[in-house]
Amino acid sequence: MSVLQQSATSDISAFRRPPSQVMRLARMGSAHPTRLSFLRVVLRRMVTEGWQFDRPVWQMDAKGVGRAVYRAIGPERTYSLVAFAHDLPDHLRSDRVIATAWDATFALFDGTPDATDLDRLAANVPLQEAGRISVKELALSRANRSVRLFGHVVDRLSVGQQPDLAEIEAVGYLMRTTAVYGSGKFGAADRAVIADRPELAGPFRAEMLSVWLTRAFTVDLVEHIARVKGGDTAVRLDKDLRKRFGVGNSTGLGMAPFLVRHPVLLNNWMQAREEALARVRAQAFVSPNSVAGLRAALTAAQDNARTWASKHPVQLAKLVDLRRDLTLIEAALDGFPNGDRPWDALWLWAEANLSVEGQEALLAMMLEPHGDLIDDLAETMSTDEASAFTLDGSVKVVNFRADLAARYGWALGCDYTARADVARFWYVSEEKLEPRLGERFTDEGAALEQPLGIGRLAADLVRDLAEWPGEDPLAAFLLAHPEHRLMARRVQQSARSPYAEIQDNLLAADMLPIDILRCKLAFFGASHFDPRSDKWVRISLYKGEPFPDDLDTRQAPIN
Amino acid sequence: MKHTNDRVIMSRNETESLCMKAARGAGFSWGLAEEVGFATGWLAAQGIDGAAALLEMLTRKLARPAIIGTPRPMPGHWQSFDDSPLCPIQLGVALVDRAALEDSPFSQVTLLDPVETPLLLLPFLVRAAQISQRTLTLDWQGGRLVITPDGTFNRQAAFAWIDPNALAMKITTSSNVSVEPLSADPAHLPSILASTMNGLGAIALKTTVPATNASRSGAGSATTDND
Repeated sequence: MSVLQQSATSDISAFRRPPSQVMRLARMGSAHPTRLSFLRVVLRRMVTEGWQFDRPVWQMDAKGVGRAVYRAIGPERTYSLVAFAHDLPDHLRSDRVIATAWDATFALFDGTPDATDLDRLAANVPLQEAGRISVKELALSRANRSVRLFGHVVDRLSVGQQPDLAEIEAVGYLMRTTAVYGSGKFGAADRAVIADRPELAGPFRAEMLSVWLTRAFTVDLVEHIARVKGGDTAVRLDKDLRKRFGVGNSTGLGMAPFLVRHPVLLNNWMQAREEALARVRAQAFVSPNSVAGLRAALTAAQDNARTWASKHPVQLAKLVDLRRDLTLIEAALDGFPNGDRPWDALWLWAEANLSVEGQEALLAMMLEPHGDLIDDLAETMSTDEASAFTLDGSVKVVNFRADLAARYGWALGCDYTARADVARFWYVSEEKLEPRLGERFTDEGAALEQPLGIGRLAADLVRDLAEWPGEDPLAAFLLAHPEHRLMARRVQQSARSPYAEIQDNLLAADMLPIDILRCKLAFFGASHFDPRSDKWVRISLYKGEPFPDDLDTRQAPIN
Repeated sequence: MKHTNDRVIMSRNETESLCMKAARGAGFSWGLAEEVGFATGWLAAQGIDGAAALLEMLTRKLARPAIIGTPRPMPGHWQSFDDSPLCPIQLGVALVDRAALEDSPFSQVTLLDPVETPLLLLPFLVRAAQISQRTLTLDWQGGRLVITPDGTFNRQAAFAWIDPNALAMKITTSSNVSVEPLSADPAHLPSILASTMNGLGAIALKTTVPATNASRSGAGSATTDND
């Protein structure tokens, strides 16, 4: 930022959207990926730092079964995706966490694996949750083919032709991951191991790197199988066409509790994005480059909206809103920039004239040309959760009560005795520990409810605190009421985290879990959000982005 | 399931998650279960196996009412509300909750009636030393442990707490007692018995709902995965 820009933007709090507006499911469920999304941040760093890429291992047989190793070589450290390709019969293909076999399985190795590592991984990675990985691994994942598109691409390439663009756009990926586990799961390295490494310090960067290398693998595999089928007639994928493929991801309720369970982390993601928007809005002038950048972002958004397919009624309705609003934005840009604070004027126009979907799309577009102004915020999006864990029981009940009332008023608007307000309950199934959503008045298991109905927990806490002597320390209340400890901790954690809570009732009859999923996936950088029900979605990651050999400055051929 | 004599290295995250769920399965509130996760994860980061101690304690707890050994804090002397030894989790949490108070248990000599599975109390005492900014000296029959405000403590003395017997102790505090410096090696995560992991997993399963065909069908995609 220049000095001039800095003085003009010194008080940007007026341009920051409040949590009461931002932390609502309807808006979170309309979130779009931005340049602060995690996969964008990963790619940007690799380009800036001149990372190099190679594939030291490729051992695939004629059926497309075998192993491969893809390396991302940074200035200080190297990371390797170890990939195992399997021969999966169609009837075993399932995206559910209860599946036990997959088309391909992966681990992200910290460094370059040797033969012993590869043997150990070969014995464990294909088993996924039933195996163990070690502190040398940062992530564990698996993927299934898009049967229709994979088959089409093989068929075309094998006879020397390129696949059909419409077929590609209808699906958008050759394979989709069905789980990507990091942060110490199944024996992998804890986050603390990588938290001080600049390249991986941000949220989900190891997972995003793993998925990006997986994307390269999916192309290599389809080309290999095409070559097996067609011999010398077979060709490789055209490089421009290749970019149309992302990596799909299939996810369900398992991801939803995450945003509720990590309030400070969620706050940091939201706060970074809202700060970015505020900085853009607060600018007193507009550079020609940023206008061009905005228009380019609009074109890209329109292209994206055109190819964004879904059959789900909720998503179809949102796509109608989005396409209409993109047309309105295009018209509004005719008169842009205009006035003292043109970005803010554009934003205020959007709030008055666009759907929530359109507003959130414009947010992403406005951020896009402002890398110099906002990219530093990417480094503020992680958190050390351990440091915020300990409750302070020394605060007086009277003060705690006042704080709770001031910040959790949103939770008290519901009557949690009304059936519609507590119609759902979150639980974990015994079978493969899969998170599920039940109907409280008809399904089994409400007594084993997970503590995700934060609004109701807040209301319960308010009720029981009401009669407690105000001069007592909170410690005394908590000793008598251990059932309120979780909520009391959240209240304290969120004191410095205004965007910590989803300010909607997560137990309500009309709550849509896909709203939670879309928000998290937008922060990942996912495009083409495609709900398959109101609890299960498909998305694409890295669609339109470069491949490793596009970025490698050495242009080393991969055979 | 791994053979029971096999050893496994669980990550700190896994330890916290599994122990939290097992504590909940044994009847602790969610908030206290989170504290169990914190305590065992902290121990793992110190290279100490807290999971085995937790399994042993929870197994005993399963046979009894859910919350026993709740502390009754009286100035200078903390006792159990019932005739059970003090629960290290409830006690530890209550001590930390009060650590910043003027009349905290660390502003005077405090006796603790016997605490079961005292190893699980250690993480809370370290936290309390940090919050109160006092050096804590724990004396018990047969040993002494000193914890300084920066969280340093003598690991050899702490190993005595792995003994599962309930331990009564006295806490005295001061502002200046020196501790022999710890070795600087970062601790490695402990390898734990697979039987410990499986045992905790079995208790953790009590937090889950057995699947029915109805519940299975509602959770996944409404379309096939062969597209």
